[in-house]
Amino acid sequence: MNYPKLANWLRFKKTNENEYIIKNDLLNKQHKLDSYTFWFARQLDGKTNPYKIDKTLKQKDVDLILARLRNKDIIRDNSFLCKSVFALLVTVWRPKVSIKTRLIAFILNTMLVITWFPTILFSAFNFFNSYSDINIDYLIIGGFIGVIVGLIFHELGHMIACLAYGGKVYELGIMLRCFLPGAYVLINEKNIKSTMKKIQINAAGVEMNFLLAGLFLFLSSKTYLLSGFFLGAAINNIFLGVLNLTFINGFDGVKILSEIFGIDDLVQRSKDVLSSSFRIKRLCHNGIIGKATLSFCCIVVVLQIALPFTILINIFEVILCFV
Amino acid sequence: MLCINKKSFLQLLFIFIPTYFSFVSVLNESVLYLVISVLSAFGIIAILPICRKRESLWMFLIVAICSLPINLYLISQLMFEIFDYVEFFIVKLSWYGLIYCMLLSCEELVFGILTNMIWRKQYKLKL
Repeated sequence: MNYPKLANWLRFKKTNENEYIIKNDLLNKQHKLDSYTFWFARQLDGKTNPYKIDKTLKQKDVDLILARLRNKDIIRDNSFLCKSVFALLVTVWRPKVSIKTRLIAFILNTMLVITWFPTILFSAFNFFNSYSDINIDYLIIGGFIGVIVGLIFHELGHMIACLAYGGKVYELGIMLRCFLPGAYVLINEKNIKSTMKKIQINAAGVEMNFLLAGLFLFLSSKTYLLSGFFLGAAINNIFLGVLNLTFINGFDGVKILSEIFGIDDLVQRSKDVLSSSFRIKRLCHNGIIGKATLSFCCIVVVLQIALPFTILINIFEVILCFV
Repeated sequence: MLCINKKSFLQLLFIFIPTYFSFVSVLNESVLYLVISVLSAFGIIAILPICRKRESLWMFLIVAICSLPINLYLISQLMFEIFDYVEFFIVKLSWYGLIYCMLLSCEELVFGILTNMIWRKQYKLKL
């Protein structure tokens, strides 16, 4: 039986003898708890029955404490991070971070950085040179499996890079958002100061997709029977990687661009600039730099509209082809 | 509203040098001019005073303008190879748009990261 457990993205700080401050890194919230409730919350590990923690407490009192903790998002009842019609996020793995884990992650991340580009280059070269005949029997199945593998490894890439650079990894899971399957990883990179390291954390997922695409492409050129299967997987991984590099809000491309320019919430800020005539005038009067900044905002916002629009049109076309 | 002083305007003209080379590379179908275009983009950013401490911003704008002829050429080649069977112009156009946006995003990121690696200390963009 599953009992409530303490959320793993919390930080605790003792302010005085009878008070603790709980910081929620995920929601950027802060709560105060008395020392008894804090002690009670610390006992909740998912295996302990909350009604047996302190036998002097009545059932009504325990329910009251649990309701308070739930209200402040300090505990969670099951492995669902989010459960609604359009979003279902299920926790699969909570990594226990140790020095050994970080060392392994560092080695894997270094290997990823070094190998992804030569792998895809060599595989593409090899594929086009030895291109003869492809068995397209399993192309669609290969593409489907390639997407699933790509999505999982994409998130693993982020997780490995984050662990390698000393960031926090809370959990890895699978999700169903707007009826589309996917994977997610909850990481916190705020303690990392280097811009290049942050860029690598955001780019690691895409690098992993390109590495997988390279491996699949290589396998496709080496086997005839499953050549279509591996080719489908490779194509979808390349598409997944490139799509993630686009400037659609929430995608890795925007996150990398935000790190390059050192701005949080780049897309929203660009939209805010263009929606305010006062800010546009102020930038125009700010000389050539102001005008360059304004042009930058225009490109970012235009891509925000153009990219999802063209993607939707193309999805619509593909559906029409099947109908 | 569009007042720019003479000095800045002259510097702004230099930004079109990489675009000129990229255009020539497409016309001649030469990789050499493409390399010159990329190198001139970095060179201009290193030299021009208006780009100082704002190298990423100017690189972003230069890439957006400079990549236009090359991207259009690449997409037209790709369309000829892969999407030749598509009859409808709107279908072709939508693919054109999608691939163009994807290429532009990738190029902006690659050049942005390279610029950030070369010029580490830059002013943060004020929005």
